[in-house]
Amino acid sequence: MDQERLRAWIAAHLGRPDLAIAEIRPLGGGSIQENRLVRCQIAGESRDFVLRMDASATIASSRSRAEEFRILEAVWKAGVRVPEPVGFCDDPAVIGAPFALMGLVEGVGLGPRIAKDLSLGGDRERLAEALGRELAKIHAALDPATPPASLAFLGAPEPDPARAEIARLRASLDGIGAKRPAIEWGLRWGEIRAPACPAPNLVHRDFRTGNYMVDANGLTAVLDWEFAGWGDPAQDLGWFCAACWRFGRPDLEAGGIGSRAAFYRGYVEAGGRPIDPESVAYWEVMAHLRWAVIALEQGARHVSGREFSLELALTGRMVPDLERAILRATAPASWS
Amino acid sequence: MQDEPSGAALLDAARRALTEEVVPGLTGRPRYVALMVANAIGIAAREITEAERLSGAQAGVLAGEPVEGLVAAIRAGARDADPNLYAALETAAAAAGQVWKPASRGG
Repeated sequence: MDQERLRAWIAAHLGRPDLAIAEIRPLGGGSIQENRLVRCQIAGESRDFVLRMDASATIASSRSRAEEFRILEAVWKAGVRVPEPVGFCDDPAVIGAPFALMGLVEGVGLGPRIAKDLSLGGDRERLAEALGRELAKIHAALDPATPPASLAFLGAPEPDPARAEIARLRASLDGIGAKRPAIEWGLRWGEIRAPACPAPNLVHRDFRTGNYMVDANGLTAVLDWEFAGWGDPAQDLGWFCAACWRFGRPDLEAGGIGSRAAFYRGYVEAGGRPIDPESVAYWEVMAHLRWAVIALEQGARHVSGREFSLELALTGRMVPDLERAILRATAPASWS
Repeated sequence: MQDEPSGAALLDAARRALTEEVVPGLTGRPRYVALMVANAIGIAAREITEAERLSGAQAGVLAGEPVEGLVAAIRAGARDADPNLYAALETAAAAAGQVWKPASRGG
């Protein structure tokens, strides 16, 4: 990375020609993006940013960095607790790829650590409530009828989000040539049992433990907006509560960190629409299906030889565990 | 005649040596990687041990049909709520799940 070019871009963007970069170092991040910490000095004061760019291989269903940044701007304006969107550079000449620059938020994001380390996140029932409130804010952040021009790429809401999701998952399976009868069984169940979505709104689509940060006192930011779009709010509730995202705490149904009741309470108190438990239960099954498909895609990145990674290779092998959960929830009697 | 110890037993010995003798002396990323390596070795060993059960369970799902045909039939709705297919899928997923993570460790 050409540090002087990056410095010049940030300096020009902020209108502070005296800006200096003190340090750049990699931050732990997702398997889709690379995040770097960029520590800057402006007139003797420190300002710390996170620079986010694509990793070498990406999941096809994730949004471009530019689109993710526009969504981040919109939810920041709506008061959702997210890192401050500072700027987006679409000129690949600056550091080799387009990148987003955001304000640094302190905290821990790693899912297993948050589930295990109770010195983080403050009181856990309050944390679950806070996450429910934040999700309600996300769902109310935009009106799908009148989105800002910068979000035109979101298109119109799909009339049938559940079946649209199933079509996407089937296309993903076909894209990597995966033939998994148990997943197909679950997807067909999902097609038959798809709930209606009378009022789609903005959904995060990856709202779970591991994609938000906490400090010792509580929630500091909701991260990872690359899957956001119009959809069924029950999808986010189901994704957050799904058994596959509880990080070794199956008893804590809200993301392995708190009770479902506390999470729902925060959601409803902050203006979230009434929760339909059956619809959320449906989306919890869909969560396992989606995670299984993503795990297969991650495994395929390793298998294809494009990217050596033991982590990705092992992720591909956890699919049978998800298939068991899918099958448990889709017994023949549950089809009608 | 297979040489002793078998490939699966060797992998199991390698996994134990790694987790009992190497991992305790590691911290941070190397510890995490070593645990992943141990996990991968365990999966490979169990896959060898369970090979017969796995292929039997797989054959039960397919029932003589090519997997492409089964996938197409499920998508087309030709196997909706089919109790025989369901039972076979459960058996296969349980066998494969056992390879990923032995039931004794919870699952």
